[in-house]
Amino acid sequence: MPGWHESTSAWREAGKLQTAGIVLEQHPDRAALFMQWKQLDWPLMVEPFNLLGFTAVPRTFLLDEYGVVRMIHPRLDDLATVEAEFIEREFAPPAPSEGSAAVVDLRPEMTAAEPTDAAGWLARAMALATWAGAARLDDAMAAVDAAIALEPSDRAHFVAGVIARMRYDSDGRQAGDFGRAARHWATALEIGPNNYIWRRRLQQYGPRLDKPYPFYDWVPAARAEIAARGEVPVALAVEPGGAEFAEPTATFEVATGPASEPDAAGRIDRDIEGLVTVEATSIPPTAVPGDPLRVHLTLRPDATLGAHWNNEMAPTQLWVQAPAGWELDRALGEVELPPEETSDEPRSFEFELRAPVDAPAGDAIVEAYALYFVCDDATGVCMYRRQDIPLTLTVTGGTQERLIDPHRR
Amino acid sequence: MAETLQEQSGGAPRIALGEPFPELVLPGVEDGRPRSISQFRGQKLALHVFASW
Repeated sequence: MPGWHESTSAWREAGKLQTAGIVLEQHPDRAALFMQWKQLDWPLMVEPFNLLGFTAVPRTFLLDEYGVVRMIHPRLDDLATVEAEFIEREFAPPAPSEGSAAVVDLRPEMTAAEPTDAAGWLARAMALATWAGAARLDDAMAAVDAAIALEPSDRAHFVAGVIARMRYDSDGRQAGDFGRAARHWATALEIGPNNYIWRRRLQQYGPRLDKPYPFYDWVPAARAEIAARGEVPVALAVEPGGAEFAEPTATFEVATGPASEPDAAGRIDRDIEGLVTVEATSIPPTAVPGDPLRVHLTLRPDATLGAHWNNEMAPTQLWVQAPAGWELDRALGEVELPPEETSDEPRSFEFELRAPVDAPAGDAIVEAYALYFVCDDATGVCMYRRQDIPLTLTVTGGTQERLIDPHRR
Repeated sequence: MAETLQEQSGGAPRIALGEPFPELVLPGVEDGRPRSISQFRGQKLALHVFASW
């Protein structure tokens, strides 16, 4: 696309062509950063729900003065044809009998009468999430749940996953929202296994063995180049996490070397006050024998209890013990401490597991615990605490749509 | 029969050569204000659909 932009600059400067974009992205600021980095100054619209049902992107369309599609996927290496058959060609306005464009404007759905079918509920859900902001994400979630109850399509499940993840990234987060998103996306893929937009969303957060590429590895380079130009990079509301930067791998990389368990004897006092909450999400949400999965685990000081981190001591740690026969990519994780004496940011760990090929169907327990220094405003006391985090992973009988392409293993 | 975009899932407004592109109204990335495909009428348009992931 930047290549197209450069190659067609003469047409734009001559007033023969304008450019616009639609980005399938639920983080608009990430798209804005990309545009700033590539110095693309044309109008860009954000579209998180794939309203036009694309199963693959990128795609370029050439529209004439009347909005009629004249070329699909024009070839960048054959601009002479584009010039002759599109840029320099005069098109007649479409006759009324040729029909008008289908209108896709969700805004009226926010105030329309209560829907009576799945399509109506889905439109309302997307309208609220697109146009009403974070304050209406609960309503959007309820609407998409109603759509799924009537017609559990892959598209409805994909939309539900996007809305759940939007809410997870908002101040209105509800416990389990990321896991809810993962389950919806996995169901969308089960129903529509050929839609790679469904597949990419799981791969964005999933294990390295299934990654086609590192999704947001361009962000650090973009920031550096923008800063070098003397500009301020667009700020991101949600920083890409570990999985979104992780490099693909061809083999499952098992932890090597003896990691030292930090509290093998279990002597550190437990966080019985619940000063820190934990949310764990597995991608994919269920384990398939022989396939990897990536676990996202986030710790948050409970603001309702006046809890916050103390950063003057040791890093926050996570110790993981894989079930017998399972592979683990790292047993010990640490989060570096910020420079402030205290803080209350979420602290995230990610690790990958692989179930043995003969893993029986049913639940498997991953034993894990976190160690952290946390302070309690009520008493003014800071404590070193341990929280045991047993994670239950469900192993399927292998009938679900596999996230991993079997040809890659 | 017009050539249609094959990579569309069922139920979406179709995109086909010789037919108007669907009239989408979406938030602009920079300010969240509504933008529509029709605002580009009157001049030829290259419309890129892509992802930043």
